[in-house]
Amino acid sequence: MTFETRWLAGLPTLNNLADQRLIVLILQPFFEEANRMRRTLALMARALDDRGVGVAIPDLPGMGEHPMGAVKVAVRDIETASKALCDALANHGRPILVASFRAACLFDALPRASANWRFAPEPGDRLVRTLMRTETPEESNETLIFVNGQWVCRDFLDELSRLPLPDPSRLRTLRLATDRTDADRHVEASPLWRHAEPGEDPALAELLAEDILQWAVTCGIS
Amino acid sequence: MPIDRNAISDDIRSLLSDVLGIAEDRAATFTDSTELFGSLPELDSMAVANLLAELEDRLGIIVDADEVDGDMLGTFGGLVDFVSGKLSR
Repeated sequence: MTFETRWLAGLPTLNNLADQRLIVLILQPFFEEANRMRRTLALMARALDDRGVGVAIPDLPGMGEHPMGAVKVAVRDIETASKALCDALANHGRPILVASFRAACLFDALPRASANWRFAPEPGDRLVRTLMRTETPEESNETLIFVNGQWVCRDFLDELSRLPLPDPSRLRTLRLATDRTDADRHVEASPLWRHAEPGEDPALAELLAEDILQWAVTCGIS
Repeated sequence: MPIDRNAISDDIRSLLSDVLGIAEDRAATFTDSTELFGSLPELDSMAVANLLAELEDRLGIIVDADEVDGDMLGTFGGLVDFVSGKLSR
């Protein structure tokens, strides 16, 4: 699996997408949750790649290494970027399955996606609630909030907290067995995004990759 | 239905193990007097935020900011009492 260094719609993507039967666009969790899940998502991406599926794992605006930092980002920036990336990937002529994790599910209703798959979706108000518990008020100001060791645009968090989870038409949702919320499947695993230190769960990565592929088959796109 | 304090204790041991990365056999030794916040180096401010979020997810409770204090997080028994109180309402 090779990552290109060029940026597509402001986001990195992979090589060889046109050679694959299906492209999975992975929308990563937000903020620190992405760091804690990164290794498992990378394992999942490799598992998909091994099965002949193209994978794109972008850093969305305000997240990870995206040039637009969290101090400037707005909800519309993420909406615009994710739509642009999905459009660009769809131009390869292959179906796109959007696999979104945690709060990224708020942005996964993309017009050119053929199917959606979610893991542990987190409403915006819950994400912001957890973030605000880490605020250092003396470092915050009128426009920026200092949470979890970084400044984040106050307006962005306000917008995020009001976003409902969208309801795409062909959607499958997985949650942890410890989560009481309804889902298509509950899986036994630890909440990696809440761990004190980043870790990895190879068994979960394999399970998720297989479930994504099965969903693609069910939807008739693989 | 009466609150099963032992079951809640086990749930919280499992949760501490998951969130803080504490080995299960170590978490199994936690008693009511085991000190948490201020004594467990794993329990920093972000870990507290994640611990509370996971408590809410797993047990279906809401923890308000003004409920988080030394009594609640100071000891394992304090945390079990807090959750038991929430679930009994």
